[in-house]
Amino acid sequence: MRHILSRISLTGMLICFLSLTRAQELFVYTEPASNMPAKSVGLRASNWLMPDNQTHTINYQFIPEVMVGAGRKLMIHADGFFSNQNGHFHAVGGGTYLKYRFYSSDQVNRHFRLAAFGRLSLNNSAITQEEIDLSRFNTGWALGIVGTQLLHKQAISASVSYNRDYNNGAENKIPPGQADQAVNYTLSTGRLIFPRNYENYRQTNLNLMVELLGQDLVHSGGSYLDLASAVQFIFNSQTRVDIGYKFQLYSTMQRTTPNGFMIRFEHLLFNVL
Amino acid sequence: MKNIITIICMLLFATAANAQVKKVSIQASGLTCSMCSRAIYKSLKKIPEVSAVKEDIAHSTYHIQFKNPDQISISALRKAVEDAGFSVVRLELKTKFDHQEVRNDSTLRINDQTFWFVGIHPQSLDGEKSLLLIDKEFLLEKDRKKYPAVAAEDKASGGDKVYHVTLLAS
Repeated sequence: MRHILSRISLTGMLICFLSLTRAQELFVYTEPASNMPAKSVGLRASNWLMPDNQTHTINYQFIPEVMVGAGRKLMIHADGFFSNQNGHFHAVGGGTYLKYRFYSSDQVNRHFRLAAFGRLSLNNSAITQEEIDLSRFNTGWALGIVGTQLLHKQAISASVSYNRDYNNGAENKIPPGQADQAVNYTLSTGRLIFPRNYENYRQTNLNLMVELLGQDLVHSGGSYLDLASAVQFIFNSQTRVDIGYKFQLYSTMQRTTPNGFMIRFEHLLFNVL
Repeated sequence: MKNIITIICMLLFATAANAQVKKVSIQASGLTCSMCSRAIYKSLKKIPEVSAVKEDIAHSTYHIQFKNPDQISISALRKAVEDAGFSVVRLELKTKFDHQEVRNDSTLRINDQTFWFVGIHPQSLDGEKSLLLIDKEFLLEKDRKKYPAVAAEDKASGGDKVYHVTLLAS
């Protein structure tokens, strides 16, 4: 009951924040329903710096990613996972992510878009927590749907996805009795702080993002809810730097790295395909 | 059937006009960031016939000039905006006329494309005028409702082959 109340009050806070914002949908911890431009390529490098509460060390993960606008409705990501788990920095896996925008209702100052997405990840890290995270720690697949509404300069994006994980290779099996399925849900909004007036593409953008990230484990009943906030700079309308901090609001499952920083660089190459 | 015959006759006898499209202005649908706006800008710039694009980021509008105005392709402009992930919600053609007679429901061949005039009274056009494209891929539905006859004609004429336009007050 306490968890439900906390979710409701946080959703209320997010909606209040929304009422103050100018729309901005380049979310940091989630993907909006909109895609990157067709025939363009994005290069992304994400650095996760999260204190590990089991080893009392800083868990560092480096995730390079190539993103391709395969068509105006389809984008594909390919990423690699590197980690300093076990004391030395090494490759632990890779994955692919697809997003297909299947519905758009566009008007001048509003749009509503829906997209379906899927992820397939391979990972050989040791499984040290109940949380299922196909973007960093687990082998498996996910399927989901995301909706993004831009209305009177306000944007809100929500997603829900089903996640299924498997053993991380023969040596890193899911502990007996631990859930291998989860439902993730997210709610995101962003605020454009600067510039007040767009005049040219050289103006640096400053955006603030707030996102709620939750997971419910199927069968075991464990769940968590995180609040992630981020500052985003966009240089020359082409290069993005995100600095985010994520922390746990509540959890009824065992997690090793619930809190910490994420620093991301992203550069978009227009019309290169 | 009667509509189709009328359209075929109009297409066969569409007059080559004393007119040339010089510039095009396109407004795109709800952008939320300068990255999105720049994606459209880059996509338009990539069209070989385009010589310059001047962006108005605040209004999501792009003013486009051409190397050779005879080779303006409206469908290529639309595709460029859609490839960037957005839609065209308004397209204006800055067109230079030289004593050209126009009337309602008449067609003209301008820059090798057929334009069907809607919602105008008979007049002689001279100098630069703005034509507004009112086909469904180029104008918001709420603005299109001002021209109720167009929907049926879209179907009969096969959409892109004939562009329905109206004259904007100068």
